[in-house]
Amino acid sequence: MTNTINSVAIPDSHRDLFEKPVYAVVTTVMPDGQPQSTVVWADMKDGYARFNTARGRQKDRNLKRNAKVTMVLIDPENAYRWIEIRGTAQVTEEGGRDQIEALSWKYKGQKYYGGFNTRTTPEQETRVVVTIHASRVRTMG
Amino acid sequence: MTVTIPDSHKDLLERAVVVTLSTVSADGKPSAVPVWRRWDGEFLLITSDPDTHKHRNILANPHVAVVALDHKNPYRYLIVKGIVETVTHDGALEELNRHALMYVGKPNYFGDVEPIEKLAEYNGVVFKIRPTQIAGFG
Repeated sequence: MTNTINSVAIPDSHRDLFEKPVYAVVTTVMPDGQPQSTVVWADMKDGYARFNTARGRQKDRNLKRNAKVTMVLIDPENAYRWIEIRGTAQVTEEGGRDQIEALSWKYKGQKYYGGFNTRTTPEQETRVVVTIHASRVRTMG
Repeated sequence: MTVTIPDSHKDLLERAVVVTLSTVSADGKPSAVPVWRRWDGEFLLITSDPDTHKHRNILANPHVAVVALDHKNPYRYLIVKGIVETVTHDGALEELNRHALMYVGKPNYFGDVEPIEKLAEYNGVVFKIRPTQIAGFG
């Protein structure tokens, strides 16, 4: 596990929340300064918390203007055990398709396109990986 | 200002679910924290110590978002967008005690949840959030 010096590490004590299919709340900032929260699938790679979205969605548009983001995962077995990862988002198209497929297997046990998602095809949207470079990590429990 | 509460998701507004409160700092950085809350039919009530990120953020920017996720069925969730209309010490301890009763079945936060000795230095506030939008998903 590697972690660059400009990103706060996610403690071992709460890494299991990324291994299990725990739903995350992600918050970005709207143009008028309001918080925008959504529920997303999450994973961890090389010590970074990540999620997936598609180009043009509100989260993607918000992050283009203001890359600050926060993510909360609450242990479904114990709501007093949680982690918040606050930081700056890096959004890349590279690996976006692979990540959404891996997340779909993790959370739903099936492929994403033509499986869990029957509404859109990969040709209709560009999936992106959002990697959080953490400036602060808070945990409870 | 009135908002519609979807009947299908009203339980996520009222049940003892630990919700995620998101706020934004004066310089545009979001932060989020799991909290207790109570719906009184008009406001969503959340308590806080005064020296917290969420309190400072709310004083700078009263816009908040609250997500209530049903962990038994995570596709079912409720998102409340709102504005903190009041931040006050008045009634904060009473509200905290109501939360303690609702969430852990104990009526005295200090004495039941935290040591009674901490009561003397309690200086908490309550945020009264007026919803501007309530949306149920799943």
